Amino acid sequence: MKKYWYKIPLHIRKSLLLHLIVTLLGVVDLPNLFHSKPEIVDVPIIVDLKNVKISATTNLPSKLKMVKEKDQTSLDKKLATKHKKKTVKQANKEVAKKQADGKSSDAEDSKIEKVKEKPKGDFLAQEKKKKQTNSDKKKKKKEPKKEKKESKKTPELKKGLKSLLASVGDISKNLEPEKDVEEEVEETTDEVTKEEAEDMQNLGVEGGVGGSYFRELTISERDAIAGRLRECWNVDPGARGIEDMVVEVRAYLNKDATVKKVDILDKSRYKNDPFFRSVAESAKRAVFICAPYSLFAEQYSDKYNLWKTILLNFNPVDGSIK
Amino acid sequence: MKKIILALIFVFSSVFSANAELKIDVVGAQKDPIPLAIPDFGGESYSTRSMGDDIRHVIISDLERSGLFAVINDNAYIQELPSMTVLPNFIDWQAINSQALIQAYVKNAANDKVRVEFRLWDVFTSSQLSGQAFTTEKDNWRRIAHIISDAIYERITGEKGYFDTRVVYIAETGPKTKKKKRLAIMDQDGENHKFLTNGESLVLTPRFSPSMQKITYLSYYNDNPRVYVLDIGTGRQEVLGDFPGMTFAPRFSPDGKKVIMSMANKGNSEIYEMDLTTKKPKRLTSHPAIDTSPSYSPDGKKITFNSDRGGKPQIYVMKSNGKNVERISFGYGRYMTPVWSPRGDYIAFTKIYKGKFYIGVIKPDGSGERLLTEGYLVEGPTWAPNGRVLMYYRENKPNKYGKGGDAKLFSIDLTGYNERQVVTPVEASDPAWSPLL
Repeated sequence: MKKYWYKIPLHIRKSLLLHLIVTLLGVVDLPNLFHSKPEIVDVPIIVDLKNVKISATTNLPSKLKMVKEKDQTSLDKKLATKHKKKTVKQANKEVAKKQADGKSSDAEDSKIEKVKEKPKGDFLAQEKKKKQTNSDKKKKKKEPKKEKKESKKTPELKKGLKSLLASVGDISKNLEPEKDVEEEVEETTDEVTKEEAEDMQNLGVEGGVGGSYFRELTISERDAIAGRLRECWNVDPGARGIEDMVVEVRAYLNKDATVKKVDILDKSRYKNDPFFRSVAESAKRAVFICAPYSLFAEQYSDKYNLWKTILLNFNPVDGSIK
Repeated sequence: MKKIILALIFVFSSVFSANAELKIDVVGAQKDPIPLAIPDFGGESYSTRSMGDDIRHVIISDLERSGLFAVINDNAYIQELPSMTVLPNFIDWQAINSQALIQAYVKNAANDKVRVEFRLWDVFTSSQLSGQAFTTEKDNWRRIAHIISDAIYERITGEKGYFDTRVVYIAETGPKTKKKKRLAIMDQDGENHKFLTNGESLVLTPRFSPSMQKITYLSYYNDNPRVYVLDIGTGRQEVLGDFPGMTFAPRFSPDGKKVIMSMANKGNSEIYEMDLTTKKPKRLTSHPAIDTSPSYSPDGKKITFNSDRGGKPQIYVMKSNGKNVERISFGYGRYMTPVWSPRGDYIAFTKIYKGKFYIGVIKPDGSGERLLTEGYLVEGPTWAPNGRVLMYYRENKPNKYGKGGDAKLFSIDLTGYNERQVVTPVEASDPAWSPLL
């Protein structure tokens, strides 16, 4: 084998090797050499399931990501000052410990002990502080404290998770979109901006308002629209050639989901075939009769481009007409 | 390894992402009549307004009788449209879910005539579909109404109307055993009824010319059955030549220049075609079985007829020169009186199966057979000129006293829906629908 190999002129050998490499790369897929190291997620966001709205489709909100990043950076900063080389788990434990002990300089500290103090730093803490001003909620707040004290005895990891759960639970309580609360936030917080407040409000639960950041129309939604159009569409079942009459129209919708105009696509047949014209016109009429398409306006208001124009394929024969 | 492959081939394929436009398929539709609104017609004087009212009622009954339209009750109307110069407020008509709106105005014209203007609006797209004006003698208001109905029907369905048409039929009077049969004519809605013959001689199988206001029929004059042609306009009647045998079941060709019929000679009936100008008969079939009830396709290239050459009467189709005979009906029972639809897509027939009569349709290639109606006796289907509606006559089984078996005319939609009686002053059978006037 070696003999044969060295008999081949050098340039051809080189070429062969190169080709082989390229082929292999083609087969195996190019390794991503410039991939940045996966970033370590410090705080898993745990959301109380009671507070999660359940919809038909996944609606992971884009803003959730933003919040995640913010949390992470703030945590990083904290960690950097004290334990630069700590692992993620340790960091978690640390934070949890601090929170549980109530010794740390920021959040939990101010929450439990200094009711009247102006909030600094962490938004969560400020929110909690606000709650404390309500005497009704005081009792409730004390309970988790006790729990935390007890949790000292349990393994540290568990502790950390529990405290996180508790804090996230508190966040979610605050996520009830009440205008009054929002105003309070603005009044009582000096350092927390309005944007941040909104971001927090969008966290996890309401971030999916409309739920349309990532999704397209579901099959059931398409069916719903088709079904409605079927109800609006009146066709003469005895018209000549009705069996193979398929009408394609393009509907142009306004932002309020009313119909701007409807174009019948097969213009030449529309002009020459009176039967087709009749069916096509009835299809066009159906689009107008069914308007407005509130599904779009309500569920996809931020995705106007998705439903600005719709291609509708009207086929009168579903077996029952035949 | 002597042979070294030096070249490696890479195939690149680029996939273009499809247009991301939202696409929705709507399969199936409603078969309900189209709701439309016909508010009171305007008029410049009391007399024209009252004529407008008459015209309006005829239009409403025409459109409703077709089964394709449902005229919304006046009480629901939010708006009145007394003038043609004002654009309707479509929102008001959309609110009552009216898909079309008809607006008309009647005014006097010169020479004691009237002028009727009408507009047809598409309510939901807010556009005018049709707008016409007719001037005619005052006595002719009924025809104006039918013409407007036809215009509306045609614009919305894409099919020619059939309201401005007439029907001839055999008017039967007297006891069942000795009936007096006269030829009668009326508008398709039963108005303007008139007898054409006095009833002294028996009249059978009247048929309209598809292109002219002429009728061909069979009459027994001096006990001799003969095929006659009657011009309705002039009242002139002529015999279509003398044949050696008995002639029956005559029918015009689509251009009205020929008549096709069957002629029985020595116990065998064959199909003959006769040129109305030369009066020369031409034999088309030659078979020992009975061939009868011929009917032309609307393009005149084919003929459908009834023959028992297969053992039982069945429907056959052949070229108009008598060649390429093909059987198209293969169902149970006996198939008779095939009639080719003026629009060409169906052949109507009468079927007798297990003692019951049926009216049905079948496509000229033998497919798509459908029975539209049944009864103790349903017979003599005739097509409306648009090939959409059939008229026939029906007799119910008489009770033990011999009553209740009156012959009546009925119409039915091609889809089998909308079966309605056509009211006649006396018993009626064997209808024949005229072409559009």
